[in-house]
Order: sequence, then structure tokens, then C-alpha cells
Amino acid sequence: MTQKPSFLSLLLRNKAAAMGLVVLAVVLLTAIIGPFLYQVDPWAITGQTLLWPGVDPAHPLGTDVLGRDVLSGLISGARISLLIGVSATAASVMVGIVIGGLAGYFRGQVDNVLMRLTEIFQTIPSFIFVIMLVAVFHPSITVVVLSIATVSWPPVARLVRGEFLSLRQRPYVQSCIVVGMGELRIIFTQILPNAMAPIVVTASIMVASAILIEAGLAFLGLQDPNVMSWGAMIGFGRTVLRTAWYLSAIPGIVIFFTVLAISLVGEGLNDALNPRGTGQ
Amino acid sequence: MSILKVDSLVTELRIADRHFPVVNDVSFTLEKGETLAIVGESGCGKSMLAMSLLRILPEPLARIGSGRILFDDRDLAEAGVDEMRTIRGKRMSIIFQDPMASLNPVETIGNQIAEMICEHEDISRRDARKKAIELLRMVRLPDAEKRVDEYPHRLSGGMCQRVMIAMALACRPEILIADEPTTALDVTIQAQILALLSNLQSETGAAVILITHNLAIVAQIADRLLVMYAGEIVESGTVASVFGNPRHPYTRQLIDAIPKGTGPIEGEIGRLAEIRGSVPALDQRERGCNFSQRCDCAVARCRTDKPVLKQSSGDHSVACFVAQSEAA
Amino acid sequence: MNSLVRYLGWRTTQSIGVVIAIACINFLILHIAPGDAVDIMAGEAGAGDPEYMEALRKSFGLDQPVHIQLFHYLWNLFQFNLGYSFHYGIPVSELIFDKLPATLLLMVASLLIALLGGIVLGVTASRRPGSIYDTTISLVSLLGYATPLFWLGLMLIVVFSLKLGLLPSNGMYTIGKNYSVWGAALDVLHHLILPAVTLALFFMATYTRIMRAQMLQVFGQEFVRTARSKGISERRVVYRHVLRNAVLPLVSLFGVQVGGVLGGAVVVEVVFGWPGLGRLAFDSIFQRDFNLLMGILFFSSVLVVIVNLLVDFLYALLDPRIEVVA
Repeated sequence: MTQKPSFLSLLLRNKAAAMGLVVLAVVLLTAIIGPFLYQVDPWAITGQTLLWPGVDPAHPLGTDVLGRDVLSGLISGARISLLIGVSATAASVMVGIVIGGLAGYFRGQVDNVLMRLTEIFQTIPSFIFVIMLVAVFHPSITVVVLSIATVSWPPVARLVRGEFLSLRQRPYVQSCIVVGMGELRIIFTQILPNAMAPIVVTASIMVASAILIEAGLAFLGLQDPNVMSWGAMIGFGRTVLRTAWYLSAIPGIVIFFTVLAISLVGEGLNDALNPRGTGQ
Repeated sequence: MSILKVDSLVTELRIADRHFPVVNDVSFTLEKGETLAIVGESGCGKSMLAMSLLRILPEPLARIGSGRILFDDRDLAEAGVDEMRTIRGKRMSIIFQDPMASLNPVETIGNQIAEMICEHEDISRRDARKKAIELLRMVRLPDAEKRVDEYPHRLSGGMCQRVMIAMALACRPEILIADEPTTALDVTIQAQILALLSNLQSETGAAVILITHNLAIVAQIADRLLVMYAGEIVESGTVASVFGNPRHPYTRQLIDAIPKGTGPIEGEIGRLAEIRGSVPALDQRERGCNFSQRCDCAVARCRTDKPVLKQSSGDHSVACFVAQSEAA
Repeated sequence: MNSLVRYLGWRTTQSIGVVIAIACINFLILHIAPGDAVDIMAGEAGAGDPEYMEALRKSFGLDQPVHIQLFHYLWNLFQFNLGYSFHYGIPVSELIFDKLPATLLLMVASLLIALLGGIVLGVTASRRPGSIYDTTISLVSLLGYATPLFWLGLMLIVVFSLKLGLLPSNGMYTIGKNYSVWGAALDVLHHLILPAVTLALFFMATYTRIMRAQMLQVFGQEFVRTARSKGISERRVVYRHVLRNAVLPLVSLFGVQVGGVLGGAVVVEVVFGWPGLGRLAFDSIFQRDFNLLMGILFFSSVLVVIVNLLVDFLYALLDPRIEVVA
């Protein structure tokens, strides 16, 4: 008996993906045009500290310990989270494609060496690795992006390798080899385009996990000190948890919805792009 | 004396919230100690019938819709879960088509047999193990003392089927259902397993319901047979009368499809007759005889009315308008 | 038996290779980092003790070619000499072993919670696919993925410590109280609840999902039908036959996740002031005690390798189908 999703769960899942898409669009819009619509400097000290949400219309979501506006912090955080999530994923997907592609296309010793390397990177506990990289190279947006990418590429490499290994055996690729098409051309015009669907699905999930890693770094104080991000806001609010728990709660809820939305869209993509797989 | 009486049994499959009968109005009796064969193509509902008798249908995908299964004057179709548990394994047991897949891969065969014994008998683990070894000897598994602690993947398909038989007979059941017991096995092993089955049957006196698509096997070991088509019984009778005088066109075609002669190695055998078409899908079964679309001698009535099983002579019954009118 | 020993040897050799490679990566990072390795490791604390740094340079042979340096580095690691912590002035390995028990306690506790919770929820969800239980459980496990661990911890503190006053939110012991042995154990347990649950919730989501999928897959297999035909109770069918087969992949999943649990432990220990390795790593960042941080990274990698090795053996023991190929 194969696991057949009921009609309802299929519907629910697609509905969920649609909902995720809506939430994601809201976050994206906020990140792009938010700063123009709500022109408040997230670092500006307004004078009123620890203002609860909904008390003062001038600060709809209240102010923090130093009197900084929470809403403007969230808007700034949306930019940072998406920027880092997308660029770290882009970087690790590129590394993953190169390493996995080389291993899967050339096989043999190349494959052996590269897969050992992948295995080693998968063994090092990734969050501790990121912490160390960021600490050693000093926190900045670039360093955070590259550090997250350094620990995130192995799953992509494994996936790409698997796809390349199987696609390489397909008749249309074999016929390209027979007619003497160049290797790079085969890789870029024949194999890679056909391997894109699972890569896109994996990448979408990776954006979510990159956002979570960045939030963790910022919470620990390992983010560019000039950047107002969601994780950092939770960290700032931690000291006044007893009296003003909303300061930590609000950015966390925003992270939660963003990550959930991206995961739902990712699962929706998975269902749409490879109906045979279950995404495990 | 009959020990099992099935009366108008209907088993339904649920597909997209609609219920389709896969066993449709089936009635038969099983006599004590006899071998009753149920034959038919794949998809005719034989296995569903077998699982219905033990009530091990894959719920909620399939369920018994109506009808009675009388065993000792108890209606198993209505029996509670706990009552069924005292019957399964102890009084009625089953062996399946794929013996390798039918054994739990992470449990030793000894433990799997002992589990059956411990469930139904008041016996210590140690004695159950001893008994498991005895049973393995009874089914002629070589090195039973050693093999008792093996895992199924270390045994061949034939050996696994012996283990299944040992397990099924552990509590001396009155009825053994063998659902395609040799289909997944090599030809040479098939004969051994069949011989073992009929030997053990005469030793233990169990009645056997043999489910198969292989008429050659039926001729070898069965006493009576039921021919099933699309969930219904189309012909029943003793092996001698049905083979000697097949009445239903479907039965005739089945018999024509048996390879004659001693086997393909001995020179040419004539081209085998094949039955054209296939069993109609569940949602394509309409009124009238289900076989009419594939039948050479169908008349107009066959497409509008459903023939019922009628006794034609002695124990021999058939559900076919043409055959019934010939006899009349 | 002979082949098992050979397999053991082969896997161990392989693991040693991985550990050496990880050490090389550490070495590489030290080299491409701005400044000289000793500057990175000690100097940045601001109070670069020249004598200590000179000693460190010498022990690293920084005046020597890179491959000799690497050799020295590896040789030190081989003797489990992870160097000195600049901040604490004691060997890094000593600090690590001092803090290790607290982290192990946290990890084991949360692992047990996650495993138990994941199995129970996964089995429940699989019993009636598509039911309200199933949908709820699937939804909750999806939530588990999306919640930042540290935020979850803080919110649990708000609810259970600050509002309800039920559970302590910080540290491992109640300070200033003298307990008997049992009292002390209970005290630690009391402090353990929140951090362990926080760390567990995150991984429970994965376990639940995998468990559900596995159960559904095993339920469809033929031996389950055989089990049912034996007259044993449905409970026994589920727990003895289905669960035992479905739980195996969870064992290997655990090996994959150890690294993640260690990373999660850093955040959780910081949030709950749990005096373990993660907390030590966090402190070392701000004390710019990179030798210590590097040591913790190396040690936790070794821990991952060891756990994976153990998981492999455990799997071979649990699943009789795994024939050890020498």
C-alpha cells in the first residue's frame, strides 16, 4: 500500500503553499518598499523607552530599552534576513553545483575525493563552525553570508552529484558525447538544466535555514554591529524579558512566519516540480 | 460434515469514497479435512476472499459489506476483535504468496513461530522454542536446531515457505488457507512444497483452502474447486466433474490454457489457447454476466441479466445461461 | 565475528581520516585568517603576553615551512594537546572535559525527549492517516521547523518561569542551597527541564515526520498481514512488528543530527545559562580566546565522528539484514 495523500491533504498542502506565497510576498514588499513608507530610523532614540505595542500611534509596535522604534527595526530586519538568506543560498548552491557536478560527471577518483570532502564538511557541527568562522573573520554581512555558505553547500553537492550520475546515463546525453560535443557544453546545456528542479526545491528550503542561522548568529551578537536584524532585536529584548517580553516575542514571530512561509512554498514547489518524490 | 459455511459474502473496496464489491455474493461450504481450491485470474477477488475469512482485510481500504461466515455456528463476519483473535492462528491460519516478504525481517524465525504458540497456548518460552524446532523438523527444514535462530533473509524462498507452513500449523488449526503458496517459488521447489502441504494435511486432518491460478496444481491435490471470475463464483464442483465436464465458458478456456504434455522441454507443444481480454475493472462491471464481454457463446440475455449459480448435476453448479439452458 | 572486527577496524580507520582532515581545515582557517595564527589565537585578547606568545610560536614552529607547521599541529592534536586557553590559563582539553558532562546531560535528556515524543507522535499520526490527529501532528511538526530555537527558549522562560513561576530559567543548580545527593539530583533535573525541552522540540519535529512516513511504509508490508493472521493483539502488531522495523532509520538519523544538536546546544546553553561546552564556546568568542573556540570545534567534530561510528555499530546490531561485508 503506497502512501496516498488524501484529496483533502493535497488541497490543504496547495492551499498552504499559496498562503506561504502570500506571506512571503508581504515580507518581500516590506523589505523593498517598507523603508520608504515608514521612514523611521531603526537606530534613532525617540525618548520613550519600553513603550508597549498599541499604546502610541507614532510607534505602532512600541519601543525598546533605548527607545528605538520596533516596527522600523522589523522592516530593517526583513531586508537583512532576505538579503542574507538569498545570497548565502546562492553562494552555497553555486559551490554545491560545482563540486557535485564535477563529482557526478567525472566520477572515479574525482568523485571519490570530492565526496570525502563533502562528508568532512558535513561532519563538522555546522552552527559551531559558523560561529567560529564569523568570530575569526570579524562579523560583517559578507563574512556572515560566506560563513553560512561554507557550512550549507554539502547537501546541494550530494544532490547535484546524484542527479548528474543519473542524467549522464540518459540516451540524449550519451548521444551528445558520441557526436563529440564539448564537456562543458554538455554539462551546461544538457545536464544542468535537467537537474534544476530538485536544486530549486532544495534551495528554497535552504533560504529558510539560512535565515534561521543568521538569526541565531545575530542573537549571539555575531552579526555586523551596524545592522538591525531580527535575531539581534530578540537579543536586545532578552535583558528585559520580565517586563517587556514583547520585545523578544515580536521579532521571533516574524522570523517564524517568514521561515514557515518559505518552507511551505518549498514543499509546494517540491510537489509541483517532482511529483514522484516525497521530499524526504 | 462442513466446518465452514460462507453465505452471500460481499467484500468491498473503497476507492475515492465509493465502495466496489471485489467479492460479490459468494457462498460455499468447506468440508472437514478436504482440500477446496479457489481458482481464477489475478484480480478476481481470491485473495480478498481469503483475507475476509480471517478478517485481516486492509482496513479501512477494504471491508466486509454483507453476508455471513459461519464457523462452528459463529458468524465471523460479525465476531468481535477479541473473538477473532482466538480463531486466527489457532483454528484458522493462512500462508501467503511471497514467503520472504511475509516474515518479519528483524525477528528470528524461531521467535516468529514461538510467538504464534505462546499466543494461543499456555506454554513457557523455552517449551515454545522446543516446539518451534519440532515444527521446523516437521516441515523438513534441514538443520532445524540451528536454523531456528536464523533471520528470514538467511533462508531461501522455499525454506521461508516451510517456515510459514510450520507457523501456520503450529496450533493444529482446523482450516489452513494457502494463498498462492507456490507462485513465488522455483518450479522444482513448488512440487516439494505442494507434496509437503498434502502430506501434512493428511497428518493433521486440517481442511485446506487452496487459492491459486494454476489449474495443474488443483488437479494434483484438490478435492473440489470453485472457479471465480470478477468477484463471483461461476462454477463449482468436484475436481473430477469440473475437469471432466467444464460447463462455464470461462472454466473451459482456463482448462484449455493449461499446457498439455509433459513440459516445454519435450519438443513442440501446441500454441496455448489464451483467454482474450482481461477481467473488467471494478468500475466497469455492469449488469449482466461479467464474462459476457470475453465470452464466445454469449447471447443477448447475458448482457442484461446476471446468471446465478445453479446446481446442474450432483455437486456440480454453474452460473451461465447458456450452460444452464443446455442442461435443461 | 571475524568480519565484524574487520568492519570495525575499517570504519575506525576511515573515521580517523575524517578527524585528520577536520584538523587540517582548522589549520587552514588559522592560516587564511587575518594575522598570524598566534595573533589570532591569543593576541586578540588585547593583553598579548609576549612570553606566552613566544612559547606558542615556538610550539607551533611558526618560523618553519607550512607543512612542518601542519605536522606539529597534527602531532599536538594527536596527543590531545589542544593548547592553552589564553583566558583561563589552563589547558583547553581540561576546560572541555570540565564542561562536557553538563552538555552531555543536556543532549542525552533532549534526545530522549525528542525520540520518545517523535515516536509517540509519529505512531499516533500514522495510525489514522488523514485524521484530525494526523493533521494536527503534521502541522505542529511543521511549526517545529520554523521556530528559532533561542526564541522558543525565551518564550518558554516567559511562560514557565516568569509568569507561572514553575521552573528555573537559569543555571544548573540553585545557588546557596545545600542538598543531599538526591536533593541535588532533583535540583539539576528541575533546572534541566526547560533547556532540554527547548532543544528537544526542534528535533522532535524531524523525528515525528520520519517516524510517520516509516510507520506508513511498514504498515503496508506483507509481514504485518502475517502478524495479524496470528491472532496477536493489534497493539502487539504495532509495537512488536511495525515499530521495530520503522524505528531503525531513526537510529541513523540520530547520527546525522548529532552535529545539529551540538549547535543547538550552544544557543540553548546561552539562553538558559547552562554551564556546558556551548556556553564555554560563547564566552570564548567574546574573550577572543580562539584557541579554546578552535578546540571546542575540533572536539565536537570528533564527538560527531564517534557518535556516527557508534550509530553504525548499533545499526548493524539492530538490523540483522545488515551483513557485515569485509
